[in-house]
Amino acid sequence: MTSSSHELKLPEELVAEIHRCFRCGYCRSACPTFTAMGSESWNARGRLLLARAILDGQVELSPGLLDRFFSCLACAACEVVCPAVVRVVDAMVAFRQALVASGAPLPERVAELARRLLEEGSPLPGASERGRQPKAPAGEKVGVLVFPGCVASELEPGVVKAIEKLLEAADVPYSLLEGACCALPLLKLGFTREARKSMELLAGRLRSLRPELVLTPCPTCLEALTRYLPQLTGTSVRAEHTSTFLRRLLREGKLALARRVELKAAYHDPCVLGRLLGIYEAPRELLWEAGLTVLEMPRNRRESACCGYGNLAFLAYPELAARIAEERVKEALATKADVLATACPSCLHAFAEAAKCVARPLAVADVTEVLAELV
Amino acid sequence: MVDASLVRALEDIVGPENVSADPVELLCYARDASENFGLPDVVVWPRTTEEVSAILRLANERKVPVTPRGAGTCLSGGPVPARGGILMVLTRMNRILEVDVEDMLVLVEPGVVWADLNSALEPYGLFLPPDPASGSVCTIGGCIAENAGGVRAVKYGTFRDWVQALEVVLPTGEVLWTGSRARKWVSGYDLVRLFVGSEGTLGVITKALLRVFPRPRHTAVMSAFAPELEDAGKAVFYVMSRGLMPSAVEIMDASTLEAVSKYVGMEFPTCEAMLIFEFDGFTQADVRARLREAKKLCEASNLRVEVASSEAEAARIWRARKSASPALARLRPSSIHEDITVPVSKVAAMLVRAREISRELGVLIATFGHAGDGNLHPVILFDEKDEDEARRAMKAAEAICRAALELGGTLTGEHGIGMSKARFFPLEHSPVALEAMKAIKAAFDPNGILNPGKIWEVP
Repeated sequence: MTSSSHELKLPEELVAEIHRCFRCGYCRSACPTFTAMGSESWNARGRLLLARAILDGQVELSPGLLDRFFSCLACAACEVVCPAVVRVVDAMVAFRQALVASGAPLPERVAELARRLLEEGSPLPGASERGRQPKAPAGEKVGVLVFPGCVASELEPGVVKAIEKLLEAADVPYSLLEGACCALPLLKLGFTREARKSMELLAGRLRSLRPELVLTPCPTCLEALTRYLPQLTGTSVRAEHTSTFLRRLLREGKLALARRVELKAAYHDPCVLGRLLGIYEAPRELLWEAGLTVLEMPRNRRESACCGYGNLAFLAYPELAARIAEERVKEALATKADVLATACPSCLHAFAEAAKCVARPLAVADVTEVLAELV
Repeated sequence: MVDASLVRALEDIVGPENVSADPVELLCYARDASENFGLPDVVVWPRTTEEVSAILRLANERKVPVTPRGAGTCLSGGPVPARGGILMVLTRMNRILEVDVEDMLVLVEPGVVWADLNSALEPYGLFLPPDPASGSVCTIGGCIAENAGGVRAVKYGTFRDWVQALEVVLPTGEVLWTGSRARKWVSGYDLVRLFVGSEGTLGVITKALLRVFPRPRHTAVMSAFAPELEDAGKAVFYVMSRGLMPSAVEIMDASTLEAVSKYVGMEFPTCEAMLIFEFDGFTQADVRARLREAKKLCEASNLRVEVASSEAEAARIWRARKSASPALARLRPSSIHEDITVPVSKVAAMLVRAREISRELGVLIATFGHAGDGNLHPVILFDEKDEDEARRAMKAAEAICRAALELGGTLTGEHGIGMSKARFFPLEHSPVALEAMKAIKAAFDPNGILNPGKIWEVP
């Protein structure tokens, strides 16, 4: 066995976390990358074993080895079934941070994704060529600031349009901030320093805009705004997910639906919105309000399965992400639903792509899009 | 370094997508849920009996060790390649081939996950009763090879009691079918029972015909708190010897309860042990009558009984038991999980012995387990970095094993000997018995290629 030339520095507390795994293997039932790849190195037990082997100098760092760490979707499904209660996501993020800091050669597509996030402020290729300029809101006082996040802005603009239509229908004045990066994917990929810088930039803009409320359809942006922004930059903002905000508008009678649709919808809990932020019922309530019958897939709420696109994995590991998304679409099809509904632009994009590859056509929609159809 | 021609030959059999000699993969297949380690040279995932046979023929010719593996949840090192060589993972053979509702039989491949099989049986109102704790992930092949048990074993027995017939590939590559679809049979030696619990040392199971059972419609649960360990032992003994057929009799001692209490924030009455009884059946009247009788027997043994009046209460009681392992894991960095089993009349004596050993050696031992069939899991908790404490923990492990044997018990009730208990194996078996086992092994595996380094071979 050879020892690695790249020294990894990991906080003691997280080394202990890695050692806490007693290898029971229960994560085999939950880990989406394991289900897709079918071998131990792609589940939490395998990843933690490999982390130990690296720390103990038992294995040489290689792009293939690093893939096991960077492909973790940070979906935390394993944490729900882990009897040792290992904080796997924290351990994976810390390990990625240590790998990045060590200067180890990163998997090509991961490095490219990080470069784009850093230099172009967007995870998607070609953003700078398109001359994508951040659209800052005009006017003096900003009430509701819509923060769509990169995936909605660039890949699922229907979600942004739906939010605008709904806010207009409810007479809620708003401004739109497109092209600003929440920096959380960068942070979770392990680029701590760069993410901090990017988040400082965002904090500065938010400080100058001083919105009363930041409204986002993206659970990851919400996590960034509510948890990481105050922690890393000291800037606090009031931020809310579109699903809970719209539910309030409906309950208070400020938003009224002109009609209802009688369809069956399978609702997919996005990992970050549900497992990480605890929002399970608001999106379901919106669907019921819209007249839809909400069906549950076998894996729902805390046990929900990742769409495969978690933390922008569809850009770093497209084949793996597509395979996982297809599995989930098949699970939705089995409920005999007409629509697969979700409350996250990344999940939406995952299912829109995957739905093209399955036998029976299945409509996919974000809850905001469903509501916008009915005002 | 792995022989490249071996990898090529394996690729010819199963295709390159089902073979890996990548060090990243090998490291992940060097462990199971026990403390043991053994690095394979190559991992192979066969998909058919023919492929398993071809791999074993190849390995037998080249005298390369082969270790079969399911989900790798074993607690004794069974699927750890102690001598390197080929690690054969059976998880890609995971089809349910037949559900025979009339004769209540299922035919499955070895890689079927326990939970998937039970989900598939649910629409028929059937289930496979033995319920290992790792049921959400463990494979049927592994359950058979290790003769897995679980909480319900007290009523329904272990896998041994549910396997009707097997297709097995012998280490030479020959394929045999043994057992019968008929419920009763005495036609020749019972090779089925020989393979069940043979820890993957005699053959590779490629198909299993299992008996299944109608799923009981009613259950009732109660908890009982004992002021002394002896009282708990007495209560268990009375309930069992009265023929009340509980579907679970679980025990947690005071140290376990303290850990659970801290971990999940549950409050327990002051006691030396908590018992959980579950009764299942097809009419509510029957289930309740047996529960009432058990309650009386517990109260006569000085236990304080609480009957769960709702499903939520029953779930809360079970949550305490299911939290035992994780709660204990949080107490100290390292642990040894024992699996000793004693006659049910000796449960109290064993619990007392474990507590004495803990005090004598100054190591923390928390005991929980399946009291109704005498299968106890004393967990020895320590810090492996503290050399002196680690030495005392090892001593405690040996003392517990010896105590179980002195009480007429066994080293293991459901985890297997594997690598973990190999050094204690001669304590339980006479040289004559050991020679008989070795002769059987040699008859099936003349070159000793299948899962070497297990049971009596100290790693």
